[in-house]
Amino acid sequence: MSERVLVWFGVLGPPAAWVTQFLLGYGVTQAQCNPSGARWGVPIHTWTIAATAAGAAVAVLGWLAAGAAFRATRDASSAPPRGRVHFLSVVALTTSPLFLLVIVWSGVGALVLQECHQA
Amino acid sequence: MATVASPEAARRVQRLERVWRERPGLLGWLTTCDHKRIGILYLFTSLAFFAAGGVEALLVRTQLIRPDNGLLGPEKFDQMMTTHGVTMIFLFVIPISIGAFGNYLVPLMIGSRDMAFPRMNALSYWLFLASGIFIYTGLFLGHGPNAGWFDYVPLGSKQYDPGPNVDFYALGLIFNGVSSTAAAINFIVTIFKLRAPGMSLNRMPLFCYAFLAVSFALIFALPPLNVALGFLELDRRLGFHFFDVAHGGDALMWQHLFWIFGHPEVYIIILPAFGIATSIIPTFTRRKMVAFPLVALAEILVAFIGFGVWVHHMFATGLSSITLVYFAAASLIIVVPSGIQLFAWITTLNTGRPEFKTPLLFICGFIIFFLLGGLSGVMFAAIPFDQQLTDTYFVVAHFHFVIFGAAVFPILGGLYYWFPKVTGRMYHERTGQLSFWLAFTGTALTFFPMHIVGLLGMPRRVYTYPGGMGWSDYNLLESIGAYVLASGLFLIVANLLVSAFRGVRVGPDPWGGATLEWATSSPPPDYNFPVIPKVTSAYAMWDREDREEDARKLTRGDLVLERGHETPASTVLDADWDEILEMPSDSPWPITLAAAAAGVFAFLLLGHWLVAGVFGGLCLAVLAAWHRQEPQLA
Amino acid sequence: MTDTTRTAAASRRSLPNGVWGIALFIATEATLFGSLIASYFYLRFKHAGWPLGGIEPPKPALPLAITGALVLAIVPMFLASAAARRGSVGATARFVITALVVQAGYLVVQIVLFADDLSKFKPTTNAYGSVYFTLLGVDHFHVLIGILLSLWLLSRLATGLTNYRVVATRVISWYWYFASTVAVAVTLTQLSSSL
Repeated sequence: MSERVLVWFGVLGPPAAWVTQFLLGYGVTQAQCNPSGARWGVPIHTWTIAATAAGAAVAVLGWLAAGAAFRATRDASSAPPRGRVHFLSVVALTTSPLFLLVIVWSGVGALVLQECHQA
Repeated sequence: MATVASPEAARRVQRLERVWRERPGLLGWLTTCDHKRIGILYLFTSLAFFAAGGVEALLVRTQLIRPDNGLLGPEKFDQMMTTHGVTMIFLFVIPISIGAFGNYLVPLMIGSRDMAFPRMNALSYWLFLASGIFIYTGLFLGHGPNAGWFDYVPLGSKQYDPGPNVDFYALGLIFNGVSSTAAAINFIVTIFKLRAPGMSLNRMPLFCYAFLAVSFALIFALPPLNVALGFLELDRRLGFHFFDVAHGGDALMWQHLFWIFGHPEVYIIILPAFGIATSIIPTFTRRKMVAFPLVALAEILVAFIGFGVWVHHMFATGLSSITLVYFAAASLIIVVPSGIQLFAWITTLNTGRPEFKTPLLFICGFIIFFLLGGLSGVMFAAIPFDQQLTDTYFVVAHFHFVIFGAAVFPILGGLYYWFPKVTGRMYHERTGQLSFWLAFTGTALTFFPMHIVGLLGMPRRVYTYPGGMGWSDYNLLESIGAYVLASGLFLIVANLLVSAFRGVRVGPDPWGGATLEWATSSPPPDYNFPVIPKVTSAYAMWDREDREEDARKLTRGDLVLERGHETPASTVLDADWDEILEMPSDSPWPITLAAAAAGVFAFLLLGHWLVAGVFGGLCLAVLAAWHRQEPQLA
Repeated sequence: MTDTTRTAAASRRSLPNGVWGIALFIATEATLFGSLIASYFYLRFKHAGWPLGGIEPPKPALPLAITGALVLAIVPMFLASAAARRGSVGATARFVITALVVQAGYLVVQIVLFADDLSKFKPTTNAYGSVYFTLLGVDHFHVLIGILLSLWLLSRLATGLTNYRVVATRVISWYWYFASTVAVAVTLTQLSSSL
């Protein structure tokens, strides 16, 4: 696959995965822990596991894609476009583990804590 | 360009000077669309508000110098404290960072002749000035904002705050927000489209990365604030019930909406400071920034993750733990990009050959304060810790370390650093160093004891406190510190003011800087560069061959663009040459539109809805007139 | 339209500055609507019964129909933008007018519905009223601004095409893509208690 596609997936995929898991997780807790939403009986844990697993998978794939783009452009000078792709691959290699971490931390926290227990 | 080689080159420069000449006199300043002039306007206006906010701070600290003091009663204290916060954030730190530093430097750093939308740039300034006057009118009438800078409901509701104080706050901030939104759009399009050909993303100065991050953050952070303020005004003036629990509203909704804006806002405050620091460090250490791509990504990442942490301001509001955990996780992870930058700066200092002139001293002060402020901040990410220390002076300590110590110190260092570029003269170095030590000592003395007094239980936002709590001595120290700090700031102003008239004259590049603003004369000519510079790396000024090539390009007429009021546009990612843009020159419409907008807000405040509507119609008419001048392509 | 203008439009590889500008403006306004819609649902989930106070939920048929019409008006605006870039001022104006007729009709019907709602309950009745009328009011205001922009564009096109006006047509058509799409989101929110 083209190194440009790989690098953009590496740069944008993991943050998109975090945003999705975040909004889904936050939304689900707000729905379930509110008088109106509670009657729907949204299964918080199920949704949390699904969102965390999917998000973590995308973060890992993004990291792998970034690594592939990095290796493919190792010989590039600073001249665009390959220089710019190499630069972005370094960015993505650094950010994907961070997003993986925040996705996992959020998921583990939401699973370990008691549902709708007031802090 | 220091010297002009050939007669051909001289002719081209003469033409550029004629085409780009600014209109003289007061009218020139009122109608200017030149980014440098607008930057200067922003600078002086925001410094005036800094002085006002400083006076408010000194009044607050003098009231708190001893227990049961009677200088300011509770009503006056609330106004001083609130207006201090509103002024410092909305009328000083953001306008000086974005409006002054950003406006003046970004086009120069990217090798362009102006911002993408010069008239809208002027509009941003006049809207800012008008919004500041609007808010201070309230203060001078004795009705200044008084419910804290985040104005929680129900305190800010009509029932508990019936006067116009909160209306000045709400309408003033919406007004101010229009200015910032326009500026943000301008910066993004400028940084994306107006970079000199060859300046691809990986060759763009780190300063520009910081401003890109700030601008995107403003685009997405301001709307929730505007919704919150709009809801508040509708509740207060027209009897709506957004925040009124008795009629189905929710007071906590204010906090959500405010902090969805408010947290990104604090990153908006500090990101330009990161940009200034990453510009000053390479210059004074004579080496490239360590881990350039990581510093660039860290600046963007801080802004991005900053949108996912807002509930950490609400850990004590009774939300469920499984909701809070998402925000605690994000609040912990956001430390990492800040840490990346700290490591990069410190490593660059350690592995370079640092020259501790005044600008670098301020950056060293910034690093220390940012470290301490960041540490106290990450402590708040732990929910149990936050629940003990929220609303105490520990919070006040934390945010003053990061806002004053970490956001303002680079601004002060930046004033010294770019002073020779803007004025063509050098400041007095010894006085500069003294001013740093006064400011540093004053900052430490004012804000460090606040950690202790917060741990000892002193709540924030109290207009006085009883003796015998163990708080009195610390408060005395803090107030003394405030006066020391004020003296340091005063010395900075005096140094720069005197040096502007009596300083030693300098050439284009007194520091050996790495970015393109040092390639042109000090001060820069109206057209910035006689030739759009050739760029092949992220440290364009240190590429001697490229700078020599620029002089030859001037003779050849290559990218001089002297036929009209022109600058080039390039593609977004790789800065390939795309087209020539014709730029508008001075225009009366930006200031006129700002005046019409001021009319809208003034009459909204007074409750004359129809008249406000008429002024709204006037705004549209002015916009139509504005667009009658159509800058075309060459 | 001069040849330089047409050549410029054809050879440009990236979006013109004006289009980037409207894209960012759309981003900020979309966030505004996102915040308004989120506030609606936030308030909704606080209460077991919604709408509050026994207010009747809105009837979906007419709002859905006219919003659908507004979305269809995207097509003539798209064609107007393309016609402008081709250099055909007459076709551009005709497409803008076609869209404008639908858009103005949409606004008139919405104002009638709004007034009808106001006769039944007020924004000062309760939080449902407040958020309902505010959300709709802000949306209709954005449609009104779009109509004023189209009218202004027509007045400029009356004296021919310039590069500035070609970009302006594209910018205003982007505004309409946004305003029509956001109207769908607002309408669905408005009707969420009836659907």
